[in-house]
Amino acid sequence: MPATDTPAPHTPLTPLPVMGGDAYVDTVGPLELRGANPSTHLANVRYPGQPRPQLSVVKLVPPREACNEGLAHTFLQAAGVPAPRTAALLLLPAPLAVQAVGLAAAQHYVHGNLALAWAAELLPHRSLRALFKGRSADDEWLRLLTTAAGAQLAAFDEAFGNIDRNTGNVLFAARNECWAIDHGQLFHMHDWMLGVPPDAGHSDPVRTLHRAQRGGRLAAAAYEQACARLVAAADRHRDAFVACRRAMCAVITSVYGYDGEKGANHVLRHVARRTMRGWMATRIGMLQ
Amino acid sequence: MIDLSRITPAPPAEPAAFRGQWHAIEFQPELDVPQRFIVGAAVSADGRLLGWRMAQQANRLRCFYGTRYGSSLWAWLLEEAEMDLQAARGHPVAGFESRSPQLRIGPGAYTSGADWQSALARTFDRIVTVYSADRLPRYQGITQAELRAATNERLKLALPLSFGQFAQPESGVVVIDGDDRHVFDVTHDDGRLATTVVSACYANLDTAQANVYRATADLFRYRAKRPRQQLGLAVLQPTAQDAMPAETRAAWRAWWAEESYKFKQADDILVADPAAADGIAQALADWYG
Repeated sequence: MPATDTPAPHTPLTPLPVMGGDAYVDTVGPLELRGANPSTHLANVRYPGQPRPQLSVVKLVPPREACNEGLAHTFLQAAGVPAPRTAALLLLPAPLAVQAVGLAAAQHYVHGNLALAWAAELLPHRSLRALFKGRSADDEWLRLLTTAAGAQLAAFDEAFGNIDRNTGNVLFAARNECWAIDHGQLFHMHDWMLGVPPDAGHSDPVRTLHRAQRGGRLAAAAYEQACARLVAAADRHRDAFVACRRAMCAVITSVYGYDGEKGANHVLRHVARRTMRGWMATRIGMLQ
Repeated sequence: MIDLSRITPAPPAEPAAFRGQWHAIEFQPELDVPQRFIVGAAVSADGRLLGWRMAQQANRLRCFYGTRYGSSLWAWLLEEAEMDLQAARGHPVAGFESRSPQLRIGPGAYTSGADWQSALARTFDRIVTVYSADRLPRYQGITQAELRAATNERLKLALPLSFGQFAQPESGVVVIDGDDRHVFDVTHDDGRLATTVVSACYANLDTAQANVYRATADLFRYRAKRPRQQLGLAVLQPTAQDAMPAETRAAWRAWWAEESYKFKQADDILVADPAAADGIAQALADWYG
């Protein structure tokens, strides 16, 4: 699903399913180039409405990260940004979680007799880090950031305060096409149950563009065009937020229940402000 | 304190009545080379072997090992493995030991399903790499190389004294022309009669026809270089047990009926077209005896 400079239509939203241990069908095995979470692995997961189990990336997560993943999944769907379409929250019995990933990896995520997991379809694309060695991955990431596809990712990361965008969680699909994965660390890891997330520093994509421009790796004209594309991508955020606001609230309350409503208000106020038209232009303008 | 019990998952579409572990059944063709292939799948419950399924064919092993792991050898290996697994049913998987050091059951991973048979079927389709159920094998029954080897084994018994005088190398007849070296696909030649043995047991009609065309073209060109009184063409016919689909077999029969008729009209061309390697060997024994 390559990005273009013309607005993508908002796709109909699929509510994020919350499923139990029966949806976790098989443990398949380890994941190549697993990130920092030691419980990340491959498994077959049975999603609602799917005729057969799908090979998925599954990881045990604390509730806030599960919500962050769910919020990102919901918003990215609404905004038409390439990201896994099929995903779910899994509530796994502790023995199953331990059997799947081992006691050492599972113990930090087991609460009572349950563990919460995030499952998303395994995409056929590989990360920049897997495809490009060393500095080449960084160079390719910089090049992608100057494209419409990269601008979509960068705009989302900036609006949602994603502090974990790196070459390991950008999937390379084609020369001008990339997909976004791993969104557990949004809002600068602020605990939004306690209050509205503050406005913190820029996300990695914006800092990468700025560093490249200041260091001479990115010409001024190319930098300006990349910023302009980023702002244009953010122009679609408002409509996307309006379309998925209720679904985002449902993600938080499905995990936190009644107690989650206050946190949902904090998050939604924060996102509402950062998806307003003109917010990104002002934000990026601060760099120029 | 995090309380996950408040989360209410949706009721399962397919409740899992069976929970256990899946295992890969691994085969190591060369004991001094640490390369293994997954040739089957097994499931266990409470650590005890419940059931298994082995690949009935291992065509992809031929990519690495050629004819060393042909159909007949694979069938024998399967038989031995089945006996070992039968003896291990109900016993701890961890303690499984095959009589062959080439075979082992790998460590288990979680699996579930409506029953162990569905979990096993799903696992087999996913992990078995030596055989693809989506693609028909290129050939079944006997390959051209195996056919030629089997024919020669029978000819050695039938014509022990003269076999060495007409059997040609597996790679074909080498003709040196000045500084150039050329190979003709001729399997038997006693200076009077040059013959090629061909297998038509391919899944694809085009491949079977191309084999015949290539073989006959080489025979005629070989005769132009080394004049022979007669040429022999022995073509193993596909049967219902082979990979060629029924409609394709019918098309082959119609095509071969026409082609073989034309060959047989020439006095100096001998044609044999049996459906078994024994028939090929018998025909050649008649020609060279």
